[in-house]
Amino acid sequence: MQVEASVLSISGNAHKVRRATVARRSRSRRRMVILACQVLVAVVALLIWQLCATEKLLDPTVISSPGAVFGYLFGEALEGRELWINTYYTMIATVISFGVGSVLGIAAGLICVQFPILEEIGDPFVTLMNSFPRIALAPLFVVWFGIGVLSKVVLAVSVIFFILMLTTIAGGRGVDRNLIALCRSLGAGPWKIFGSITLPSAAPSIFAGLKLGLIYAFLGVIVGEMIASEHGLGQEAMKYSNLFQMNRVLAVLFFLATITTLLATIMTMIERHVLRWQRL
Amino acid sequence: MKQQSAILETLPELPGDGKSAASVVLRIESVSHEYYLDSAGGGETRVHALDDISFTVGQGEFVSLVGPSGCGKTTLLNSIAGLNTVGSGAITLAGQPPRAGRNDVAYMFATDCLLPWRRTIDNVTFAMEVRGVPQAERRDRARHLLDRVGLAGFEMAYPSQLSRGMRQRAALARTFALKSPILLMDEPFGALDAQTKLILEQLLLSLWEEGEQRTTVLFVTHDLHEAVILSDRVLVFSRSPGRLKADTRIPFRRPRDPLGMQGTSDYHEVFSKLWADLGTELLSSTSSAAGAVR
Repeated sequence: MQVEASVLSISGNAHKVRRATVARRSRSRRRMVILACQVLVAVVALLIWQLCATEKLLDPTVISSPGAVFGYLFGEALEGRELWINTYYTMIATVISFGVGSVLGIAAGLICVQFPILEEIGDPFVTLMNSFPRIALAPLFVVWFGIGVLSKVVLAVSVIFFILMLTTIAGGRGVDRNLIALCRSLGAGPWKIFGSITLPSAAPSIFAGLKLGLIYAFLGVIVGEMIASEHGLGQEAMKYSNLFQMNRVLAVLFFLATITTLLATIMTMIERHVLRWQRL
Repeated sequence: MKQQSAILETLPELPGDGKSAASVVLRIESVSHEYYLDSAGGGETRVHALDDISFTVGQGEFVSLVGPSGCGKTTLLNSIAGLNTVGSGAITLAGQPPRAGRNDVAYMFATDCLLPWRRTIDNVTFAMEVRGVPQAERRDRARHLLDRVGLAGFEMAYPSQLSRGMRQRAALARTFALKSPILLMDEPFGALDAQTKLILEQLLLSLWEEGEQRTTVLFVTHDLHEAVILSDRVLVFSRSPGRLKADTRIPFRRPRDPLGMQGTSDYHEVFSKLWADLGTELLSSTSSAAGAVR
């Protein structure tokens, strides 16, 4: 009877596994359809843009055209040195601010999760500082920290820090109390509970924060560069904007968006691996 | 008591019926507990959850606590586990006051409490890991128990890939892998459908019966049927205030066959006697609940 019952429930699950394979196959077909539609949307959008420019429906000196933008990007820009040097400076600043901002933000968030009293004490200050329009502080940061890497890093960190801190706290708060009770009944200490329950529970929320933080790292750095900077893609875009060379501005921005997308994709891949238990 | 019955036990006395002091594992002495609820009028209502409860549990006994929800049976179990404290009275567990994390006590919750980010086998080893069991032994015990509960082949599955019944099987494996001599269970099968419940009750009985020395089990449930099938003794609690209303010995022989037992007249006799005690509590509970709110 016992064995029979086990076999029953297990063969029931073998069925589930078979259904999963079928589901996976139809899911990959679905993914192909989605990709095809995405390519179509991009092509149509570019065609409309090109048409507006060549037929002079909109002023080509203002909106430029895909031909001019990509012509410049894949010709002069990628073959020259300016774009690469500026990319290098922007990337350095972004990586530093993302790293520093995330580490500090996650650490602050975890401290608040582990010691809720600190979160309560700090709450009004965090809310106040997070409400500060930090982008508007950019000119101030330039005065304080100069036109080098430091001022843009500080600006970006001031944005990322709060994103990571708040998402980490939200994640830590969502811990299943039953799991904590289980750990307590087993005699686990506070740090064991933190490492094996609190941290993994907060991980999905932390990853959401990291993905957002990456985008904001670029935003902070680019804005910093646009205000005043020696180097960087933001500074390059600003320069061509002042010269009214819209194809160059847009080429730089497209290039930047491509890099950001690439990094965001890598981040998603890391997330999928770490949180693989979630997708099943 | 009927003689020569198919399922009735021939031994008149159970090993530890709370009568010989040496074999007493758990002693509850005049335990009372009350808590406060915010009432609609803005004040607080005092809820008398446990009122002067006293009983003992002997070594190797399987004792169920049944009663209407809100009678304080889970509060009592949590206090025995050391997860909370009672207002007054004394609890002695294996000669010591309760403390969370004792090595001789394992607790099984109503929810499976599997960590979603750990594979099934790692969930079973997790409890042993906290208890400090060496790594190689953890693996061996986990594999053996998973095999026993019918989850062989599902070691690498994540909890989200398992059905509710399978998850509770994994929780059983995790609990029994600890080899603790005292087992506290808080409605472990409460969330399962009737069929799965019966299968898991059977599994619990076979796991419990196979140990060299029988584990002492305190089992909280609101399902009288389940209590009768599993237990040596059933303690019926009344509601608001939670008093010990009846302490009934279930005289069925072991090993038991839960499915076969249900059809016998002896089973029905025991069941209806207990139902007479519990049923009045369930019926009166609505009026007393209204009283508490007022």
